[in-house]
Order: sequence, then structure tokens, then C-alpha cells
Amino acid sequence: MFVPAAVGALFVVLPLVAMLTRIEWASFGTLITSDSSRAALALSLRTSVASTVLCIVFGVPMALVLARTEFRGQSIARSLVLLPLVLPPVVGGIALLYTFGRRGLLGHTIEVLGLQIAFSTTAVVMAQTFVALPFLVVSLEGALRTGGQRFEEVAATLGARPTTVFLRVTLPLVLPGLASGAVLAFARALGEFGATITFAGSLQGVTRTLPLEIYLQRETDPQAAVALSLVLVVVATVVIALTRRSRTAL
Amino acid sequence: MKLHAQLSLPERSVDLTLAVEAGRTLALLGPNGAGKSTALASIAGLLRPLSGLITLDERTLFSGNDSSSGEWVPPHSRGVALLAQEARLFPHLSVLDNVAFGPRSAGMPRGRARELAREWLAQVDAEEFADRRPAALSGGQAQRVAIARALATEPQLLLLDEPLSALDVESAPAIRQLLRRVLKDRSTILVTHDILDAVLLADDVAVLESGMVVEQGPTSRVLTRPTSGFAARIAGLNLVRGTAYGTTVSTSAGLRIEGLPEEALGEGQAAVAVFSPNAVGVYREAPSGSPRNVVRGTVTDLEPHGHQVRVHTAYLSADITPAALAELAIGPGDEVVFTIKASEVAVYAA
Repeated sequence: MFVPAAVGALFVVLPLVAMLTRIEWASFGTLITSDSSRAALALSLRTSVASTVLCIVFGVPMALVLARTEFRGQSIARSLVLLPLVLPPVVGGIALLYTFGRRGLLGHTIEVLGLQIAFSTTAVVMAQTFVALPFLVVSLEGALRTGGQRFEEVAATLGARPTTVFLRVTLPLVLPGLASGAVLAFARALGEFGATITFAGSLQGVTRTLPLEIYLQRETDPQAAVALSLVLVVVATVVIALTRRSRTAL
Repeated sequence: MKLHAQLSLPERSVDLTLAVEAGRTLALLGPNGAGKSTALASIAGLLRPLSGLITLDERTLFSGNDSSSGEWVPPHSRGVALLAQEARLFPHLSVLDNVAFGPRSAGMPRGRARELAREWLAQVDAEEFADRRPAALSGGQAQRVAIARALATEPQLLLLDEPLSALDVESAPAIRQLLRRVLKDRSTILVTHDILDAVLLADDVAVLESGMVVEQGPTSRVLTRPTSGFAARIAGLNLVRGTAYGTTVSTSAGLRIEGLPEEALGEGQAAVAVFSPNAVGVYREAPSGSPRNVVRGTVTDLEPHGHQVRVHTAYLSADITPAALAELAIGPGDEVVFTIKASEVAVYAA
């Protein structure tokens, strides 16, 4: 049991170590503080935060509907919501393009409204939300189901209206599940590549997020790509560490 | 408050009518799966019956039949509090805020709700736990707090679903005493398996079997003159159900028990013969002499019962002294003869 576990762990850790060995620490500072790198990092953080917020706004009601109601075709609805988890991100990007792009399903309507979504920062946020939403829905629905309705029923018989039950009982009890779901969604948004490059393109400062920047740099300046990769690893590690701290504090 | 509840939930095979008079406690007895918890959940509004009518005094909480949707009051507006086996205290709130939850939900400002909560905690002798988290309480302490939390909402009807069954033997008596005190003059339905709860806490008893009320009446009557097998069992009595022929009750299985009818019974009328295990004599061979009822059976089980031993057969049980048991030298699987004096058997209509 320990041998395969160790092999698995090694498989995860070894590439990270290999990457570390290739970093030229002397030029590390200048590499990651170049204009394009700073712009990409700032854009990545901004869009990931925005898409995480969107995931919470839409994902919490979705998880509640899936966990607390029963309706015809619910299992189909659940499968559809989770589809982006298994869909190649590029396919997701193409789907978004044919929905919100200029010649897409809703493209004309959007254009009439004077907006253009494709190849804008909005498109980046949408692509990230598209791929990250299932992560939040899955972990929150799980938390809601394991928590069960016992406490909500008690609250109702004590005279609490549905809104009060949600705010004072349901939400506080699933907060850890919501937090870990939000972290997963944030991490997924931060690493998003395929859907973004398909639907939003790669314009510096507008749609070129850190993963896109790394991919582009790898062709011209591999050293910069490795340095930026490390930045992404550090950001991801910090996020995970922060949420673990806040979860134990709860 | 007076409750009337007529419920039909065909998918759970429940179809029953219950009534609780104002200020009285009704004990719901019955085997597992008889529909007791379903009845409570329907009255609390956590489960919607297919059809029926639930009223609390003049207020209709639910009405409906198969064709129309009718009326439905949601659980939070019913004024019906439910106390379950486990205390179910909100784990993220302090004990004080748990008790203050109901008044707060009714719109009371936080300060006043907490004051009220303190008073209710004092009522159940749990004041010292006010600032603790529920996780730091024992089962008995948590159930005290849960009782205070339910009462703090000033419910018009209190539903208790086996409130003592999850407690250890040390804390159950104290909680039973507490319930006895707080249930006085409150309209309450108490689901229980325990004869002691029924006797000490309930004014009336309703016995449920397979989703129907098979017996209902004042506790003392139901326990001394049961007409259902379940009520007889928890009252510790033998009950033989059949049809009356003169002073004899005959079952479809061919068992005949003669007794003293309390009133004249019509030929062929449904009747029961009820007698205490104490009135049963146990022999290996049928004795000759006065007792007129002789029933043969196979011992299924022996269990200690106070200072005596209870001998079970498929239909009847008998209490004998350990000395008598030693003399008889019987065990499970042995053939025995039970004798019952007719003068010890009560026969009445069922």
C-alpha cells in the first residue's frame, strides 16, 4: 500500500522539483517583474477573483436546488451542470464562442445592446466561470447533503422563515464546504487556459492571463516561462494554505 | 389548544385520526413502522399528507383531498414545536443562542430574546451551560437545552418524538421528571416505546398499528383494559382476541379461553380475554382439577422479570418463581401446559 502511494506522491512532486532546478535565480527578479509578466499576473488575479464571485453567486443557488429539491429530470440537470468538468476546455471555449461571439447564438442580441464580449476581459471571466462553476457546485452540494435537513427542520418548527433558516442555519453549517468549493473554483479559474485562448484570445493586459503568458514565453524565452510557472505554483500554494488556516479556525 | 388531525398518506400506508384535548398529553404507542413519526411530521408540517384535515382550535393547518390542493400552513407559522430523539442543537450557536433562536425568529430583539432564553434555561436547570457550545454537553444536558429551546417559542402544541430513548439510564429519569413538570397543562403528543413514559407523562393513549389507530382512550383504561395486542404487551398482560360464545373467547386458531364477562356479550361478537401472567400456572402435564382453561404450547423464551421468571410461548406468557422453574426444569423448545383460572380472566368487547 505504501509503495504505490509513494510512487504516486513522487509523480506529483518530482516535476515541481525538476522545474525548480531549471530556474536561474539570478535573473528571477527581472523575469517576473517585466511589464508583460506583471500585467498577466494582475489580470489573472483580477479575473479569477471575479469568476470566483460569479461562481458563488450562481453556484450556491444551483447547489441548493440540486440538494434540497426534487424535480423531474434532476439527475440530467446535475449531469449537465457537471459537464464542464469532463469537457476539454477548448471545446468549452468553442461553445462559448458560438453562444456569445459576434456570430453566435446570442451574438446579435448582445451587439444590439452595444456590447462585444468575445476577445475582452469579460470573455476571460466567462470562460473561467464556465470551467470553475462545477467545482463549487459539487463541493457545496456534497456539504449540503452530508449536513442533511435535520437542523433546517428544527429551525422551521421553531418558527424560522425559510430566509432565516437559510441565513442562520444552512449557510453557517455549510460554510466550510462553501469555502473549499470557492478555493477549488478560484484555483481552476487561475489555471484556465484552453477555453480562455479560444474564446478570449491573447491580448496583453486584456485577455492574456498568466497561463497564456507562460505558454507564449515558453517559445521565445523558456527561462521566463519557468519563472512565471513558479509564481503560479506559489500563488496556488498560498491560497490553499490560507483556506486550510481559516477552516481550522472555524 | 385542541388538536384534531385526520391524515392519509397512502404511500406510507398511514390513515389515521388523532385528537388531543386542550392541555392534555397524548401518548402515541406502537411498534416500529406503525406510522408514529409520520403522524408527527405531518402535524409539524414537515411532511404533506395526500389528504386529510389538521386543525388547532379554530385554525386549519392543513386541509386537502385527492382532487384539490386545499390549505397548507408552512411549519414556521404553525406554532407547533417538535422535539426529537437527539437534541439537534445548532452546533454553530452557543446554548443561549440556541434557546434564543425561536424568539429571535419571531422578531424579538437579540437582547430580550437572550434574557428570555436565560429564563427558560433556568426552568430546565441548565443555566450554567448558557455560554457553552452544544458539542461540550452530555446527551442529557443537550436534551434539557432542547426542551428549553422548544418551550421558548411558546408552542401551541408540543410534539415529542421519543425524547428519552437516546439518553443513558442515569439521565433519563431526571429528564422524565422535567417533562412531567413542563408538560402540565400543555397540549402535547408524545411518541414513546416506554410504558413508564405513558403512565407518568400522558393523560391519554393512542395505539398505532400498521398506520391505523387500533385503540385510543385514557391511559389508565387502555393499560388496565387493553383491546389491542400491542397495548396488552406493553401493559404486561396476556390478550387473546377472538369471538365471544357465552363466557368463552374463541380464536380462529382454535384457542378457547373462558373468563368473567364484565357485561353480557352477544354470541359471535368480537371480544378479548385479558389476564395477567401472574394468573397463569405452568405444568409439564395437564393437571386434573378446578382451573378450567388449559392451553398447550412450546416455550419460546425465558426471561427474568422482577423476582420471578417470565415463561413465553407463542401466544401467552406466565410468571413463575425461580424455584418453580427449577422444579419444572423447562427450557426453550419444551412442551408445557398453561392453566388459567376463569375467575382471573377479564372478558370484554373489543
